[in-house]
Amino acid sequence: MNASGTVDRQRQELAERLREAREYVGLSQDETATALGISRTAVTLIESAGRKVEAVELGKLAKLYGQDVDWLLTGKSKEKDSRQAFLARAIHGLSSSDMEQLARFSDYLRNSAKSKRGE
Amino acid sequence: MSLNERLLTAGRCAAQVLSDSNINGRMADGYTRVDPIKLAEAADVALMFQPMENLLGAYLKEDRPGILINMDRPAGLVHMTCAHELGHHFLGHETTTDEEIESGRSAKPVEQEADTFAYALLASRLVLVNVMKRKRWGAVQLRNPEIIYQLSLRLGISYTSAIWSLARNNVLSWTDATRLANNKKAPKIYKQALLGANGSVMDNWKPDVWLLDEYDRDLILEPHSGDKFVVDLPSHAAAGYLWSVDAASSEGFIVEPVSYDASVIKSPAPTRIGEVLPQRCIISATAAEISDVLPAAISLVQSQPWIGPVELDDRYEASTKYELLRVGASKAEKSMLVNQVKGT
Repeated sequence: MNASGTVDRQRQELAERLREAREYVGLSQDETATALGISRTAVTLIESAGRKVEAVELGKLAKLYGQDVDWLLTGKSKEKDSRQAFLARAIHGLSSSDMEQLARFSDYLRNSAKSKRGE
Repeated sequence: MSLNERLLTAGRCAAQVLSDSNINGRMADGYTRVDPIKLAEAADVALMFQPMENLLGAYLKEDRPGILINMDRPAGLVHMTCAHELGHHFLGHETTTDEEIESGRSAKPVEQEADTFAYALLASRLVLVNVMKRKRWGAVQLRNPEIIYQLSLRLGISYTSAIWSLARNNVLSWTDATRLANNKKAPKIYKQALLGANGSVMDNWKPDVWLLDEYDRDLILEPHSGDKFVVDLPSHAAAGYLWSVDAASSEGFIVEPVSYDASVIKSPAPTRIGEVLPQRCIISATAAEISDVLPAAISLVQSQPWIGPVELDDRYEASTKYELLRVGASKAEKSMLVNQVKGT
């Protein structure tokens, strides 16, 4: 694959993660648009990889969705410890999808706490 | 502290949270249930609703405390789960995941404390007596499972939880409560009976069926999308009068045409002109989602369709305030997210 193909794929994945992150907190495209001070069309374009996302916007989106910027960019979180902590507590019998929901909410709480403190 | 002392403390803690929430003002407005979602928001606990497989809910004690709730469950269970997790929060418990709640004396002490808290919060003597007074229900009526089901809707808890709350408040004996709770098919049968042949069009039995009477006039009911209302009104049908929704004041509701099932309903005796017979009206919301911001009125009028306006006393009115349970963060949490980004 050539370099521009990789860039396209990365942008597509970022767009998908942004849509997914918005749906996780249950915000509409309109609400996201209001928060960022852009048009709803711009949000639609961002989520379909039809428009570039400025660094400042990405920071705001991360804050708005209670997500880590690194996770939005790469799909990987720097802080993997929350997931590990849950597993370590050996909550037996939990399905992997329920475990995923717990880990995700735990990440959400940690990220949104940082934003609340103004970090 | 012994377990019993811990349970008493949990109950007292819930009573304190309840009285701090201005429950008396809410009941004076006409609401009949305690809203655990509002209480969690007021306590600054992050609230998240997601579909889950086996978990009912979880309390996470992180940098911010949070409650995760399986929203893929009936509303009564969603409320009880929220109240249970709120119990873990107010009682200072650690992170807990709950695949079941209300599992009785076999559960771990912290779970029993959270259960006691939840019952004391949502089904205290205070709110139970309020509904009983408003609806003119005494201990005798509350042995009737059909009335217990209607009580459960007004308390916003499941049918089974309503049975146990009656036992906890000494309205029912534990023997009667156990017998009633063992009939697992119960609420579905009562819903079917209320809808008659109209029930056959329902593709699932998750929606609730509210039986209304004159004592619901001053109440604000809190239904969910898909719920139906049934009300029996005195009708001069023989003289050509019919009850219908007053479109001007209750937008979004319709009276369903009742399809009589001959095998279920006995055909009425031939009617004389002027005779008053009850007409059963089944009302449903036409909009997929009615506003959850303001109470919506259901207003019915009796008229001769070809004549039009009628005297005002041939009217029935009830108020509803829909609760919309959606995937994602609670309303307050979402506004918090939007506001901290807006204008930055």
